[in-house]
Formats: sequence, structure tokens, C-alpha cells
Amino acid sequence: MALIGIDLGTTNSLVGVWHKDAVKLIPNAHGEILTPSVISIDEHNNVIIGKAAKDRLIKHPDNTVSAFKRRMGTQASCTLGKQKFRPEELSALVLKQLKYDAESFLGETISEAVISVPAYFNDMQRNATKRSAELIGLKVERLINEPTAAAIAYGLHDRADDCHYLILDLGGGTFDVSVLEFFEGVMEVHASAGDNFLGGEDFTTLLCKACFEACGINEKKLSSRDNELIRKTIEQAKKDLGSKSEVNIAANLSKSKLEWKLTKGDFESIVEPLLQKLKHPIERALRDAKLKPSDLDEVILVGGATRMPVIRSLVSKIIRRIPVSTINPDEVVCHGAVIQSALLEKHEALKDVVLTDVSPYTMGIEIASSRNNGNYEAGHFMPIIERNSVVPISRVDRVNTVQNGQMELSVEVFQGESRLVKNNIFLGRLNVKVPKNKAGEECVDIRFTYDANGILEVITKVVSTGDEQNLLIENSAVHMSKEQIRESFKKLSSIKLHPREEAQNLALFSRAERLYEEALGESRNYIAHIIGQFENALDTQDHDVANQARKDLDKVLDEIEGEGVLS
Amino acid sequence: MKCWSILELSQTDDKKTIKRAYAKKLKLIDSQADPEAFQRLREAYEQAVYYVENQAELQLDGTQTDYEVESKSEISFSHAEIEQNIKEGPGQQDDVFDPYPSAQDIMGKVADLYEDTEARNKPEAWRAIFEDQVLLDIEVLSILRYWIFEFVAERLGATDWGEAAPKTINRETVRYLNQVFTWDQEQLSLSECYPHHLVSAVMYEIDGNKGMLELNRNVEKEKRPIWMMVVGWVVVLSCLAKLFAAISK
Repeated sequence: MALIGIDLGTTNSLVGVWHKDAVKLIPNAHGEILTPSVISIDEHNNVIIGKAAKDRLIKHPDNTVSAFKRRMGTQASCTLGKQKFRPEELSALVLKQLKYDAESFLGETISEAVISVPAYFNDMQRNATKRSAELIGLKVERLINEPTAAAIAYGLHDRADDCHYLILDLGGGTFDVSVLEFFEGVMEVHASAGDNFLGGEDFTTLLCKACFEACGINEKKLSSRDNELIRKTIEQAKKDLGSKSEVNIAANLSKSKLEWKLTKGDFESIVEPLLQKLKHPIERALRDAKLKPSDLDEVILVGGATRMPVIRSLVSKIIRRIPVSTINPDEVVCHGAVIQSALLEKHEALKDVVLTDVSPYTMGIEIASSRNNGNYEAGHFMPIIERNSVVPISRVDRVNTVQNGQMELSVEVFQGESRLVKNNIFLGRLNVKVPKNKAGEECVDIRFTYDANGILEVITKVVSTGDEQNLLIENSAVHMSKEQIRESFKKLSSIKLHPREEAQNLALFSRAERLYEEALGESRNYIAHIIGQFENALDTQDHDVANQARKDLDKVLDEIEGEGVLS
Repeated sequence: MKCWSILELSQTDDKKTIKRAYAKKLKLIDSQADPEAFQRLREAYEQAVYYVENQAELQLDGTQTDYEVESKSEISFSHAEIEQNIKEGPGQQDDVFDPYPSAQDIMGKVADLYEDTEARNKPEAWRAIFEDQVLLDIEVLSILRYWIFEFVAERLGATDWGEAAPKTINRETVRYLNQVFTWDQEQLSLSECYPHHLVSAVMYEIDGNKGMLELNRNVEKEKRPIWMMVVGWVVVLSCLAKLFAAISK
């Protein structure tokens, strides 16, 4: 049985498998490697996933959702059609599609996967990702950090010994930095840092805001259709600015026409605040790894958003080195996830490669620390596992009671880098009963165990009695009960995916409809006409006729889009 | 030292040999199935590397042959260390950029500005210094993060006893500097290098909270007096009565 590697991205997702001693990325029904992480519901309450759903963003913005990875680990659910979905469930649907594509490609059922997550994902986000897979009956063999995955993909390509890499991974929604060393077949992550809310989508959002301001549009009064249309146009403009020095932005809104000119210089000053935010994680990762920029052998860019030239020039300025991206930045993480799956299966070709990773956050508990006037002040953070410790790791620290006759000790677990717990992320709580005694006489050992998937377990032990308690971190706010999981499992299994051929037709229809929305006058009529023709061809129920019609329509749509009739 | 026997190595100064031994042993361990074995090997490796890197100091101590190293010290970082690291680096080569002159140059400007008692109250004047392109360089920035922190903290008039002294740098400026140097995200490492009261003083300027307020967090909010509740209910009931009267009409 095959183990697959999955890159579950904010914008796009990919799946691959280790095949004949090499990575094979698996194409979806449309023959494409990238499956957009977008989900839509049609009027018959059918679920549409991927490319077809993405094209529906403009026409059916209220029944379509994208970028839900950013909400992982929170309770923000969204309503599609008549049903409510949690972020885990939306991710589960994308995983279901990827699993289905892989199964049709390999001709066997798949039940295990390696899934990549941003290195800077916290405990709740990691657990949510794991749960997504379990909801569709996929066992997660390993969660791998995205920059680490990218590093393995590069490490295997050119195996120079004793190399230090800096990986910068700017995806659709997250930014990760990792420093790695490769020696004697060991890929060792020295440090990771990042920002969970910084990605290509934020650049687009900022540009949209600037556009609204420049054109005097009130964002709140904008219909969701117009909003999606502007967003898509700006997204395209952002990509075009990679090769042009200025672009004209035009879109047909429902009541007016939008026109805006954006130059490279404007673009750079608009996104300046985001560029500032990129600097700090880079600096911190280097500092934690005790390296200076000149120690690095290579700076590698990963993630679709690093295609923006402004990112390249920023990186060259701050670390005085030209970055490389020889492997396709959209695909490299999935490459790495597949290699990790092969490592877990101990394939012969990889038997000399080992990977070690680190925990990106400091984890600890709340304590009261004594001040010089003899009082205790609560709210202080005591680190137990420091950030960038190599995992798996297990550490014990001892705390004692602070009051005479204290019967209970509350262990509150936090994750973060602030010395006051209120600025850190709360993970869970454990109440430990201790025998009545003088202040400071009773001690509790607190053991933190952090596994290779980045999931934390806390064990407390009262020293005098030997009582042990175990806390698997389950945050009440985002935790799903067994009952909820069962229900959700049932809901997701009842959702049928479209057979591959039907999926292709659906994607074509959605695309044609989107083009119709964007076009005007003559070309609108033309598009309506060819959609009608295609429907007729499908009605014949003849396989060959349908196939031919599909190819024709695809070509015509390519032409329409290529000609730029729309702008 | 125990670490050498775990690595199956005789004591050595050569980092490469240690790495090779570690890599060889690591490939024999399944870290998922046997995390304890992995952790033992990892700690031995970190200890051996620490020994090599700090050999000079350890030998000065002479007697300390069985130096137990917490692996925490491997990760923790101090201001002096980074300075030393940067200075010791291949600074002799001509093509390597030396961040120190640039940082000192900026510090000079800061000191000059601070001398000017009128200009130092204007955040624009500070802005003018830190909008320098040289701050784009990561090394310059990380050096200045600590230098400027110390400079500012010492001038905020904080003492260990919490006595107030006149502040000579205003809050707006401190907040601007925090935007440049992100001190609020580095509190743990700052606390390792500077005394508590200095870190607190700067954080107080940034977010208005020293942490001292936490003392009172167990005190519950005072309950409203009973007469207020009674009056409230009377008003609600009379409104309801009027509503009923209107409906029955």
C-alpha cells in the first residue's frame, strides 16, 4: 500500500507519491498538478472542489470559500448552501479530493499520508490538520514542516556536504524561515521562525485596499461578486508586475467600471509594511542558529509568493546574497513531503538520509515569581522546552507551592516567546492535588514531551506521593468531542466527489461562466453560444463526441482569455 | 565525559569527527520508535560540540573535566556571544561586510540627538536616523537592537525599587523604536541579558503594562449595590405592566 505526500496549501494543494525511486506528483482530473484549495456548493447541494470551485468564486461568492487554511485551529465555521463547515472539514474535503485523485492514478486505495504544515503552525493548528485527515479516514504518518520539506527536496538534488541553507517559504497565507545544515547524510534543522498570518494573500488584500482608496470605492457597500472580481483582477496585476513596470487594471463592476493604473514603484510602497514584517523572522532564525549571513551556502526561496521580484530584491538587500529557486517554488514542498514518506517507508535509495527537526516555539507554564519585597507576582512564563530544541524531546522541571497549606497547584500550559503569559498562547490546564504542607515544601515535577509531529504531551508528578497526571493538550475552544467527530465523519462520507470526467465538464462550465461574467457585448454572445454547443454535445451521451467537444471548448476558452478581450 | 562513550569516540577536538560519529549512530536509531535513545544521543552530541567550542575556557578551569552541559545553554544566546561571533568571523577577508562601523555610526547619531534636549522629544528626529538604508542589513539591525535597548532603558529613569525619575525619552519615540527593533517579541532573550526592571520599564512604555497589574487579577469585580438592582427591576416591571395594559386595550 502506498504512502502519499500532501502539501495542503492556503491557495493550492498538491499530492505525490514515491514511484520508481523518484518523486511523482499526481495530476488531477484536469491534468494539472496544482489543485486550488477552494470549495463551492452548487444549487443541488453538491460539493465542488478545486479548479471549478475557484472559477465559481466570482459568480457564486456566497457559496464558495477559499483560504480556509488560515482559520485552522479556530472555531470560525462558514456556511455554504444549507450546511455549516468547520475549517477542519473544509480542509478534509480538499484532502478527500487529493486522495481520490491519487487513488485513481495508482489504482489502489490509500489510507496513510505525510502532510506538510507551516513550521510556525502552533499546537492547535497542527492538531486541527491531523484531525482533518482523520475525518476522511486518512491516517497521518507524519506532519512535516514545509520549509523542512523544501530543504529535503533541495538537499537530495545537490548533495554537497557540510552545507548551510536558509529557506524562506512565503506561501499564500504563511511565512516560514528555517536554517538547515546538511552533513554526512543528516539534514538537521537548526532553527525555525515565521509568521502565521503573512502571505501572498495579504499582498493582494493590501493592493485591493489601496485600489478602493484610489478609486473612491466604499468596500462595505461593494457586493461580494464585485469584491471577488476586483480581487481576481488585482491578483492578476500582481503577477503581471513581475515582468512589467506598470499595469492597467480594469474590471466591469455591476454598476460602474473600474480603472486603475499601478506602477512598480506604487506597488513597492503599498506593500512596504509587509516587507518590514518579513525581516524579523529571518533575523531571529539566523540568530538562533548562531549563524551570520556570510556563513550561509545558499538562500532558497519557496512558495508561490516568492515569485514577486520585490521579495527577491529585499532578500538580497538584507542578507547580501542572491537567492535561488531552481525547483518550482509551487511544487517543492510536495516533493519534500513525498521524500519524507519514502524515508518513513525506508526505501532503499534513501537509506542513508536522516532528518531532524526542531520545535519552533518555546513551551512552558505559568508561575508566580518572587519579587524583592517578598511578594509573589503571578503571570510569569517559565519555559520548559526552549524554542529550536531538536525533537523528539522530553524535559522535566520542578515547581513548588508558594502558600502555607496549599492543597492544589494549577498547571497552565502556554506556548510563545513573551515573559508574561498573557501575551502567549494558552494550550491547556491541569489541576494537581498536593498534600497540605508548608509553603515550598511540596514539589511537582512537570514533564513536557514533544514528538516528531510537533504535538505536545504534559505529565505531572507530585514528588511526595508519586501521583501522576497526564494532559494531552486539548483546547476547549477548538476541541471536537468524539460525538462531533463521528457526526462530521458521517457528513463528509456522504459527500460524493464528481467522477473525473464529470469534474472536467464542471470545470469547463465554471470557467466559461466566469469568462462570460468578465466579458462584454460581442464576446459575451459568443461565449453563450459555445456553452450551448458544448451542452448539446454532452447530451448526445457519446463518449467520443463529448471528449472532442471538451477539447474544442478548452481551446476556444484559451484563445478568449489569451486575447485579453476582457481588459 | 559520558558523551564520548555514547558517541563511541575517544575524546577529540575535531568537530567533523564528532559529526561523523553522530551521523553514523543516528542512522541506527528510529527516533519515532525510541525517542529516549534519540534524546540520549542528541544530548551527547550537543555536549561534545559544546566541549569543542568552549575548550579554551574549560581548560582554564582545569579541574572541570566532567563538565555537565544542559542542552539549554546550547540554544540560549547572549548579547556578548553574538558580538563575539561576529567579530571572530572571517572578518579579515576584504569582501566580507563588517557591520560594526555602521552600527557605531548610528549610535553616534543617537547620542548626538539625545544631547539636543529639544530635538529628542520629536519622534521625526529619531525617524530620520533609523530610516537609513544600512538598517536593512540584518547584522547591523541585530547589533543595534541591543545597543539601543540598553540606551533607551537606562534613560527611562527606572530603578530596581520602582522609584519614578523624570523620563528623558518620550513614549511615542519608544513605540516607534519598538516598531524598528520589535523588542516586544524578544522579551525572553532580552530578559536573559538585562535586569527585570529595565525590561519592564521599556515594556511599560510600549504596552502600558508592567506586569505588576497581574497581582490583582484574583480580586473579583465589586458587586453592584442592592438598591441599584431593586430600582432596575422596578423600572423593568413597570414597563412590562404598561405594555400589558396597552395590549389588553
